[in-house]
Amino acid sequence: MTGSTNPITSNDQELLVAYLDGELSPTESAAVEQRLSTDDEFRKLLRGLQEAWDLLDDLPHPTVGDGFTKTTVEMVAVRLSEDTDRAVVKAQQRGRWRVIATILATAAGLIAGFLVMRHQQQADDRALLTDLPVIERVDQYTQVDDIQFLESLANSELFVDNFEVEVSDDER
Amino acid sequence: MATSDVAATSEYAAIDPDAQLMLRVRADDAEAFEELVRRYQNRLLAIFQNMLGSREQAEDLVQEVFLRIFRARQSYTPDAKFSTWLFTIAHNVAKNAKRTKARRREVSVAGEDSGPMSANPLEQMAQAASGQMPTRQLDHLERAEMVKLAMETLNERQRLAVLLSKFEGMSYADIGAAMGLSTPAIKSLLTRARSNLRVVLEPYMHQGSRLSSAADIDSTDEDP
Repeated sequence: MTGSTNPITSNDQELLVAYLDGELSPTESAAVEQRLSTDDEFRKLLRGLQEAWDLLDDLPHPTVGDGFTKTTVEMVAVRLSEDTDRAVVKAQQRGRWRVIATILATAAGLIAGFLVMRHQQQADDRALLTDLPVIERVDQYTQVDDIQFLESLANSELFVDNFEVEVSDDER
Repeated sequence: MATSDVAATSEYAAIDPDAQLMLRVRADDAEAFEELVRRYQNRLLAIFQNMLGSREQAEDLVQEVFLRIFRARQSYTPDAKFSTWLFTIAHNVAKNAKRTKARRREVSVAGEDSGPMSANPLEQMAQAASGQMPTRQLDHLERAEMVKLAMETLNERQRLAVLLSKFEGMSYADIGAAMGLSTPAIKSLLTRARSNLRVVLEPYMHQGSRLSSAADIDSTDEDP
């Protein structure tokens, strides 16, 4: 059959492939068939595409061996059992880590508590030490009503020697 | 879940026997799983062997697909054809295998002897078609081998789309769903693939017809 020939575009190729794959609507298919009846190049392209496609029938269609189904099912069972074992081990490891973390947290809490208490105690001791000179002379201080008077006496340096003597006596 | 999704789910559960089998697998029915393996093992093997070339590797991948299916059984919902779901998994398995293979090849690429068929298959075919290849050598290239070489000229995605279309008769929409691509993308992918195959195989088809014509002439001459 002879007919007109129109240049083939990429759109034509897509149209023909979709036509061969049965992906066109009845209207589109009818339009393709109409053009096929008149366009030599279009027809030649269709034949080329179809022949190349038919050659793919020669590709290997392998089949599995007799025991393949059984082996596959068994392999799946084994792998799932391994999955379960792994999950159990992981859960055990997680549990072990949780116990260790609890022990560590408790120990850290105890140590922190001890340190806080000790610091508190030392703070009390430090306050006592600071106040020790006053405590030692509290009887003398109670006999004086005015603290400013004592300060003025201290600033006048009148009793420095006595004080030093007294201190050195204490040391001795 | 939207009403339409529920409808689709119940629709596939009702009309797709493989989806029904898979629902039994979801309920831990070992026999149903074995039946699914039986139904799909050869189909998967054909796809993988034609994708990757190695029978051994193809069998490993078939088993890997079934393992993944069984592992994912609890999350299975029949909201598409079972085969579409299965080939989605197969596509992922093939992709991973290819990636692993490529990584291994990076390591062991040096000193690899790929034999007499190591040249670009496209060049070989062009050579064969142009008559530069000795006839003896051309004789050894079986038709199946030529088609296999032609398939190797396609990229990974084109090859899978061709195999799903040719071997499984899947629609563009289903191939798209399995490969994670849109229907127009599959249409264009398959157009490029089939056009490439036509271009690559055309010289061979012509050569084949020339050879057969020559044989016809010879046999005619010999005939009394």
